[in-house]
Amino acid sequence: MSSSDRASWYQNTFLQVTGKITDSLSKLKLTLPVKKSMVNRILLVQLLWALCVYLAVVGVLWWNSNRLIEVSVQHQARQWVREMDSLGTRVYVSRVKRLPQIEQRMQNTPEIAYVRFFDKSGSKVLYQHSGKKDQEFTLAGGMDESQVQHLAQLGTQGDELPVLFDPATYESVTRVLTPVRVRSIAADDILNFDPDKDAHETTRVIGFIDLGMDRSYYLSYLLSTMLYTSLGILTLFIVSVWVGRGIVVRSLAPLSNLMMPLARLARGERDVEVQTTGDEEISAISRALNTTIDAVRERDNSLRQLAEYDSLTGLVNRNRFTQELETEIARITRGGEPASLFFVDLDQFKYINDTLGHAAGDRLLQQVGNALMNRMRDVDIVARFGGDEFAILARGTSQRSATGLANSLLKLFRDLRFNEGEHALHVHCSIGITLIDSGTRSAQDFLAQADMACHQAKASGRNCYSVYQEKDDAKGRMAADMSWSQAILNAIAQDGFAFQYQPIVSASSEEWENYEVLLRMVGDDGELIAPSAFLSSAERFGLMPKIDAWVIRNAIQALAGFNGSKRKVRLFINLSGHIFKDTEIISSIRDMLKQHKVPPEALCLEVTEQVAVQHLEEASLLMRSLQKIGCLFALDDFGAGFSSLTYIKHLPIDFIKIDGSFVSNMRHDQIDQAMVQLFAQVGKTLGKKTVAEYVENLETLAMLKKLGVTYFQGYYVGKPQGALPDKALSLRKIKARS
Amino acid sequence: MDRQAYKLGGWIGCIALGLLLSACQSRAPLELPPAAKVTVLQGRNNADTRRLIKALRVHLGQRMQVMRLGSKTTNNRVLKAARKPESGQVVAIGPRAARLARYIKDKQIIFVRVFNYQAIGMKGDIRKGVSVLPDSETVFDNWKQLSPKLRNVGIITGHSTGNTLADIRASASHYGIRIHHVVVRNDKEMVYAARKMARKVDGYWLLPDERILSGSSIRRFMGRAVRDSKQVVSYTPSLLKLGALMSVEPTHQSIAERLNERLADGYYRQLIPGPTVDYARDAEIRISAMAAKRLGLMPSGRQGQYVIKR
Repeated sequence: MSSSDRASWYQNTFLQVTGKITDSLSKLKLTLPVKKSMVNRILLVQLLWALCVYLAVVGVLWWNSNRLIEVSVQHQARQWVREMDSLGTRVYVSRVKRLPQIEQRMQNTPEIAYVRFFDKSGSKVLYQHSGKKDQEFTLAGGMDESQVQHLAQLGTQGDELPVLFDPATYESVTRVLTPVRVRSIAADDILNFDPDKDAHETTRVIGFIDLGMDRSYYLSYLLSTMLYTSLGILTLFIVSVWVGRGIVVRSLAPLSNLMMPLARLARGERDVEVQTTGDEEISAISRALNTTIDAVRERDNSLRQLAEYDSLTGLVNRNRFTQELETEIARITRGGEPASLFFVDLDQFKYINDTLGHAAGDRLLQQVGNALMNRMRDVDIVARFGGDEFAILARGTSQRSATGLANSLLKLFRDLRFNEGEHALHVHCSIGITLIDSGTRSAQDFLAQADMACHQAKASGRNCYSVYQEKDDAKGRMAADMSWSQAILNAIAQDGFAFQYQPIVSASSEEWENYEVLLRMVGDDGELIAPSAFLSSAERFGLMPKIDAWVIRNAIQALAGFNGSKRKVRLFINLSGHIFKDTEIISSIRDMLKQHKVPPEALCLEVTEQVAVQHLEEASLLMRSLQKIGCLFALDDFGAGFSSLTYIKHLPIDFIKIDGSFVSNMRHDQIDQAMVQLFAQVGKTLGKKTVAEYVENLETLAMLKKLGVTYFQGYYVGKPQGALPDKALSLRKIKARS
Repeated sequence: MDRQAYKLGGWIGCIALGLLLSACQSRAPLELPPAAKVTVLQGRNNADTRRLIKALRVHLGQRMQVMRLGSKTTNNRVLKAARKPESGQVVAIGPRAARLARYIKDKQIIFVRVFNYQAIGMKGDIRKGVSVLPDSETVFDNWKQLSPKLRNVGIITGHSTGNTLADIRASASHYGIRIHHVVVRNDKEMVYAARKMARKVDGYWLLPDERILSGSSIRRFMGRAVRDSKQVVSYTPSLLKLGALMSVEPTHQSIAERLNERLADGYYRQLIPGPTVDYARDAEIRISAMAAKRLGLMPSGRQGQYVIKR
């Protein structure tokens, strides 16, 4: 096989191998699973990258090697034409047709493809010999005219043998042309010849040498080397892919192991722990997941704590207690032992809260909560419902054991000593009990029963317990049939409330008629139920904002009716502390006043001193906002909360309503009298109007007037009535009436 | 039979030569008259021609005018001046001057320092010269003395050197030396021919034929000769450093003296008597001690004075 054939065989083989590699890659791509695998993609990227690098390296190597071969062949060609110049002298001496020396050299030197000797015209071949017997190199017309002229010109210039490379003649053969030159020393210089100096010489071209250097000899070697190298690299590729797949799969195994813990986490399980094994990158993810799980767990616990526990006492709250109660009812329904529900309400807590402050009240609640928790068993549940109300679910108790437990609780409270500073107080409680022995009622029903029983205990003189009985009085039956919360909701929805108006008379003549609006619930048989009967339930069931809204709406409607009768009536309406949390109350009042064309100054909103001080900042903002509209504000029960007088400096109120406890006994109590005088003086100084409640006789009225109180309210002035009097009241008319 | 005839011819030749020499010594040399004019054409202004002109001036003095060749215009002017009758006899130094002198008709021309005078066309009774070569007797005498085993000498020249080679062959035969002469056309052939005859010869006598010599061919020739341990007698001592064994060249004084004689011989006659070229009587011989040592030769006797250590 000749070198050119060998080169073409290697070239074809190389192309076949690269084609097979490409096919294998295509098949590999096709056989990849439909669901993309990270491992396969990583390997594919690595393989493609390696292939790109390989192709780039092979390309650069091929180009550089070709260039190197070309340069090397040219360098060898220069040496060979010099040799041929010497060996071919006989061609020009004796016109021989055979030059054994040249043929011998070419036989030993396969990279020489052919050699030709031309005459000085470049057209006649004096001698030629081809190193390849099976391959003829023919030159149509010999050398180009331009090549002859160029070389002839170059040949007579300089000492260096000029060569001309003709790359376009044969593929894989580098053709080099050089002139055959003779020289002679200038005629008169021969006797002065000095080897160390350049002699004057004349040069003539007597012919040309055409030498072909076969690059395929080197190319075939290069191709065979690259082929074997490629096979080696391919083997390395396969091995590295196999090993790489194992490494990647092993490295990513911890990532796959995350699926199960994450699925459990998604199902809501919190006791999930992710293994932090594997490489640093993946273990970092595992650690981050564990941190996230811990954070979720903590937040979950925190939310659960907030949702199910009372932040002050740490006891469960109403929601959680209700859930437990429902669970217990269901258990009892399935035949479980009966249980008892205790509703505990502290007696005189308001007094402690008012006299010693809210912080002391809170501490008392904590102490009570701890005492109850310590007293009860682990299976029992103690809850705080809000304020001073506690509930206890005592599991596995009969009515007898429930009453025993109630007695022990009463004793517990009697023994409970609350120390606050220099004060040592005893706290008592009222306990309502209902027995849960069947599943015919809901948790709300049982809670209402216990609540009613607790009210019964309070009504019975406090510091005692009461067991709920089905045969209670009409009020109890009504409450039993329809809990207070439901009754309130019905009253709001069906306007089941009614107003009573109690006059407030000014000491001086005034164009406005002032009345305080007193809320009553209309019973089933038309009787009016005082708010003390249902407000506590409304407070417990969170219905106070709805009651406030009902009162405001109906008061404004009533004012609209009064104003139609040409009377200037101002209504004082009582509101709870929840009004300060209602962000839309201002716009609501403004819209209703505008809708009913009621002058804003006809509406005076009352809040108790305790509520106002409890929400001092919000109260101040709301008062200022409503005063901008034109509404008035009155501070009710002033003095009862023992608040600092400085509070009223910060509250933009119009009326100070002195608490009735100071007024009712002021005729016999110098201190009350002094307090009333103080409040009247403060009101006068601050430019506020003062209203005295509980004015029940003329002497009191006279005394109040003397002390500087400007408005009077009480049974002496006028009892609450379902409608306004026909005419406006005045002090003169009142005195005349009496 | 042939050997006996050869010896008899040799003796007869020696006797005739002896008679001729004694006749020459008995005749007094001619002198140029003071009024005679000689025009010297200087081909190239180099050290060799300057030394020769200096030596010639010793004999000719003010009778000699030197005209240096140059451009074509200069050469025409020189040629025009040389043709004038009052410019007297013409001496052409070097091949260039000899070629120009060909265009001078009807005047005696003595050429000197010209090897291939036959090829140039310097022949005839009024165109004679002094050889650029030393007397071949001197060359072979010293060479044979230095290398007694010398038998075959190779000489490579261009064409038209028959007279010179005949003289050389004649002298060589006296010393039992066979001359192998090859005519070549250029320096490339010269190197090839030298390589080809290497097996036949013991040494080469390198003659100053500028037609077949180039700097590279001289170097290659000398390199090859050294490699083949061939003795080389050079026409110039500058080749001793390339490995030549000996250089033999006529002295400038001797050339000038011989030239002066030929001028005088021609002045009183229409034709110049004697052979076409005559040889200078004295030669300067130098022997390379290094080459002699390399070749295993030992200069002896009076040759010791020729040895140079370079």
